[in-house]
Amino acid sequence: MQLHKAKRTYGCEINIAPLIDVVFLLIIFFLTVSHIARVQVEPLELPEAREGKKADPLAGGRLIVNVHKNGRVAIAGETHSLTSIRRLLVEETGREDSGPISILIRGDREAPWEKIRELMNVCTDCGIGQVDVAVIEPGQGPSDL
Amino acid sequence: MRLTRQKSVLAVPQLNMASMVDVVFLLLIFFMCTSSLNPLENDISSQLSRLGKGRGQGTEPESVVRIHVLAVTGGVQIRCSGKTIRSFSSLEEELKKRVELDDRRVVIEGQAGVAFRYMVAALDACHRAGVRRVAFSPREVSP
Repeated sequence: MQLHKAKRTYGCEINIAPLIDVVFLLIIFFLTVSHIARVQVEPLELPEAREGKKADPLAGGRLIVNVHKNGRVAIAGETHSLTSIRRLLVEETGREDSGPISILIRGDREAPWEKIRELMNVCTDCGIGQVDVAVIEPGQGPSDL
Repeated sequence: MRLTRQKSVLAVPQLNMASMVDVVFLLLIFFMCTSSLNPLENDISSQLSRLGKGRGQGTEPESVVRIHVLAVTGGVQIRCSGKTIRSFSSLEEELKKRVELDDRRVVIEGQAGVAFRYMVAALDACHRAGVRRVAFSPREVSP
């Protein structure tokens, strides 16, 4: 009695060529999303402070106001005057479904104080009693204090 | 009885690693383009004072400690209730000595021309000294 076992061989090939297409799609998606999110956070040299709390500038749904070294005030990449900011805050506070508005002021370390003071005055006039100021840890930037 | 075994060679799965290298390069280029070496940001809360704004506020309460930051050549001059302070570290020490600050407000006033970092340094000195009732003044300090 002879037992013949004819075994069939099965090949196993993984075609990863479509994986490259998937990676392309993911790259384009994240490039697009990160570009949109980064427009709100403009490159500035922030002032230093030790008592700052760690926080993500884009978290919390705050209105991010960037104040540059030359006094330019920008929100989401667009330059605004104090009048337009006041109008924007009045519209936001006047909405029935709006909760308390929180504002993050990202001011350049060399930004003129009078510009930021006027911005804070606009916030006060619109009923906002507290703002957050973006800072960095000491030693992460030029410091001569 | 004779048992014969036909040895069969199983096909070993083969992975073509050449495409994997392309994927790795793509990911590397993506993260190189999108990442930036920015320092991590923190937040510091700042109260907004209404002292000096509006009508009927000509007289200010006596229980307010004023810190003045004045612009001078080469930097700033710091004054705390009229007393000149050498640096922001000294300002922190001065505030710690004032035990009556537990129930008093501190208002920081800046002169036009002062850079924002000096105002933040004054606010940070107040927080380091344990003063929590501190706010920026809405008016400009006169020299």
